[in-house]
Amino acid sequence: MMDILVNLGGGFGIMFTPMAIFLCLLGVFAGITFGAIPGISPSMAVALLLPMTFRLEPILGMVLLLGAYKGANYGGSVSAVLINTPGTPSAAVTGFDGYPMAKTGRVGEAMGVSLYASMIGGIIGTVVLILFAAPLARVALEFWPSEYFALTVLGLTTVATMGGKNWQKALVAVVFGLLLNTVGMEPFAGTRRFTFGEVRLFEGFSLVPAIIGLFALGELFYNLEHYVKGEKFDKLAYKLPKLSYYLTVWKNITRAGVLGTIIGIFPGAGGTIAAFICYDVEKRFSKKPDEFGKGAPEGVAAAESSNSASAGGALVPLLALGIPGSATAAVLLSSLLVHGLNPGPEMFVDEPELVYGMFASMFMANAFILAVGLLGAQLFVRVTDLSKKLLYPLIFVFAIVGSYAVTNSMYPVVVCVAFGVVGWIFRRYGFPTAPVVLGIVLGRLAEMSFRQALMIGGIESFYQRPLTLIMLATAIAAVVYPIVKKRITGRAAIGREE
Amino acid sequence: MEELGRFFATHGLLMQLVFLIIALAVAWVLIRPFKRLHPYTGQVLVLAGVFWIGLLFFMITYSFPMPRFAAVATTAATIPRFWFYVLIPVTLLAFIPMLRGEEQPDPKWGSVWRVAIVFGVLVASLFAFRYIGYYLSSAIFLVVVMWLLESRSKIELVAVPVGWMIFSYFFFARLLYVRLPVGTLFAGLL
Repeated sequence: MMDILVNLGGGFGIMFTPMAIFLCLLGVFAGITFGAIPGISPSMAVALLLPMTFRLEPILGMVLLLGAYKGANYGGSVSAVLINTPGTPSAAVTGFDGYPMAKTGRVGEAMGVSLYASMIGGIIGTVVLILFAAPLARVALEFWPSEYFALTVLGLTTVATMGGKNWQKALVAVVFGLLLNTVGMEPFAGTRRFTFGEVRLFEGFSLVPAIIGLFALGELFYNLEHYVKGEKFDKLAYKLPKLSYYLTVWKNITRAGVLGTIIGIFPGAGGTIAAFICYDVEKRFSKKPDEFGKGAPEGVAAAESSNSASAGGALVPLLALGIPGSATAAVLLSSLLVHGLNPGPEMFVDEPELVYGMFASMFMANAFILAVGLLGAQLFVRVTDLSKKLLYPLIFVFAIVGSYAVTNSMYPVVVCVAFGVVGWIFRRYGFPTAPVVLGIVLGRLAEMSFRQALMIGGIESFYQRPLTLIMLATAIAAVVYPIVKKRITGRAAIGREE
Repeated sequence: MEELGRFFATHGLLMQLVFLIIALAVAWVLIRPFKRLHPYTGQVLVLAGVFWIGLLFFMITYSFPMPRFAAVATTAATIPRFWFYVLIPVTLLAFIPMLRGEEQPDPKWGSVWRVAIVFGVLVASLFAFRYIGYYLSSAIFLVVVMWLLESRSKIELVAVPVGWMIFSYFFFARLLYVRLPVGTLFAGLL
């Protein structure tokens, strides 16, 4: 413990130089800006800044990239809250409650909760990274495909609470998403599935344009159908709430931060799954679960805290074992390799200044996110000042260019528009769109891990490994418990009436 | 089943859309005699659409090549079939409240014509990318949609599209290296 503190002190020593501070701020600012743009993922944001690091010292390069990584994770929530167009896939969950809050004039509150949750979640992720990087990475590597499958099943159970009163429709929507995920090249033998001779479908549907279409375009089409001339957002509260307000959601932020970090550690799981699961957990813990999805600050806090914390978790296998657990971690790894550094257990011994400098820069990046977020929020929220006759067309072109940016081609744009129509129809007839995203996010991981588990250990692997059993049992309980509880309370109410 | 699967698999996306429309039409005809379901026509058609996609995928899985090794526990067909098996009870679960009349009826139609026009303009502008490029196409799209949303201020109708063109050029093309299409019309000028 003492070693860690001493090394961390050294790391902060490196960070408190004008150049490091400047690069960290630059990275955060660029990350927030890029992250807010649909189609520019955190990995793309970091990759765009990568060439700048070639001539910098390794630690300074990492300071810039980590700032961008952290910033992009927060930036995605800005557009999700303001215009229901998530800048990053994980920010889609933030939009579930953030956008309804913005629509009802609580835009400042939504932005504030998202900002503070992101910062605190980021700090939790960093602390866990510093304290437990090596042992946690080893645990994560012990995970078998059957455990990964159980994790996806656990993720899929979130649909049980996501749909609320429309839970039956939510189930249809999630299976629809899972079915869509089977389109494209099958991951094992490369069999072409449901491509209908269309070469561009070989890769399946990309997540980002699908999300932009379902949420942004779907909502826009719906709003156009019910458009009334001269409509504007309610002007109620642009100001961010006072600090004491955030104490009301501190439990949600902390729980989601810890859980988000743990989920982020598993290679391939990522911030989106973390956000979905933590959102579900907080809804279950809540005394007012009905408010989730209609503008509950607890929902924004959970999604944003877990998403931000998962960034710290994703660095655990990278730094401790040299295994990148996410696309962004892979870009960070390439930056280290360019400078001739090999991440892994030896790096903690051979390059403590670099490792702890990176940890210190993550704390600093969180502080800068708060500073840039506080200053920027006053500016960002003005988007809702625009009248809808200007805002709607601009969101359309923003969504289109964001989709185009994913692969610099028209295919994601077509996917975005097609999902936009699906989103509109679903929204119109009360089918929630979030479960479709959940299905698309989890579908591939579910298939990969399920088939790998069967190949390696046969059907026994699902009931002979204790951790798999525990996770599967939790998943079943997560679905069954609310139903049983509802029935018991229903019967009790009838009994009281009689 | 294999023949049926092969039949559907060999048709392109346009034909799949036709098959979907036929499936929806069949569903519509089937629910006509049941007056209780009339308030839920839209919702039933959504269910029918999703179910058709599941069924289509299920049938097509029978046309997949079989793996060479008998020891392989799963094939490319395993998961799509599994999701279809899940879809059957799930669709029924969603259908039962409609059958019982417990579901919220379909919402009334709003200005669908506006949605249709915007969708048409959007598709046309996407086609126009190839010929007049992203910048001009998106500017025209902005003007048309703003006009449709009853924006009549000349300043707005000029400033917003021009501002967007400048912003998208500097931000996306120059800063983020997004190669936005310039169109065949302007390609010769560059």
